Amino acid sequence: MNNTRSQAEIVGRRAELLAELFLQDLGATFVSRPTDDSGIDFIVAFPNGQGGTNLSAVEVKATEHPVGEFYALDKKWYRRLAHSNVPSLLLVVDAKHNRLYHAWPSEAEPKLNSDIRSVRVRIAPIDEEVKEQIRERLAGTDKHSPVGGSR
Amino acid sequence: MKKRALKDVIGKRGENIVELCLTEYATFPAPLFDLTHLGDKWPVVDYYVELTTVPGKRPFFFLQAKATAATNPKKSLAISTSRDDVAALLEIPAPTYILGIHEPSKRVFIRSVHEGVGIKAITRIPVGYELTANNLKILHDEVVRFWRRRRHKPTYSVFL
Repeated sequence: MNNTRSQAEIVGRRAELLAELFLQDLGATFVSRPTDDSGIDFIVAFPNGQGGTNLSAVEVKATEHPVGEFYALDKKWYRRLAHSNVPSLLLVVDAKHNRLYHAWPSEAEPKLNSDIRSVRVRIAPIDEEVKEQIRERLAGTDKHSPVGGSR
Repeated sequence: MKKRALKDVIGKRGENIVELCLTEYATFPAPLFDLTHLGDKWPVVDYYVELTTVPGKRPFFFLQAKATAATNPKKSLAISTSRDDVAALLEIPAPTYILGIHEPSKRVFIRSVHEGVGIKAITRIPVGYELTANNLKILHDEVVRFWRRRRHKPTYSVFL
């Protein structure tokens, strides 16, 4: 048994909580945590405006520092997100400053980092405007999705 | 959504908001507190909270949390505790506090239940007791002072 939680554990926990509240604030029907170590932190559901529900996978990565334009993500994790049968949202959470960044891993693999094992994912900070864009994409009502989110 | 289900959602969000608030460390080198939720079946208190900053010791306190979705507080946050809640918190030989969580704004307010506090329901927490970074530090120092004046361990036991 551990005597205390390490700061890294607390930071990871804070990142998950910030992400969960963010997804709830977007209006998710549910935000569910898979019970095993599936490599996905949350499965979220959003009403798609046609009476149906759109599901997405969300992976959360924690940091304690402001993030630049790119985030180095393990290639294995990237592929897991990019090659899922549901849209995948990557949330990078600066748990010290309560800031969130995001990316939509897609099948077009981004540039490999020099260490070969990770990829450089372009991420964007989340503000109110971006928040609405993310909500629309999760609900399948944005320009990236077929009408009603039938993908 | 049925009333019970809505209350559960506020409660779970409230739990998350409490944990984020108490581990907030934007203005500190590291979180001042670590905490665990004791679960719905544990009576009176909802959280056991440890201070993470005192070398070789782990001072602690207990929290009872009340979440609300009421209108944004201006002078104080309205909460619903009972006389029995306060009486039960006064029976615990350690620092105890009631938290009020305003769920829509994610603001958290605190009020102490200590010796001398009347055994009656606490229904409001002044907005001045919001758990800002400054008040987190004050809370931390208050708990440190409490435990510093007390013996850390018993000095005798039959079961030695």
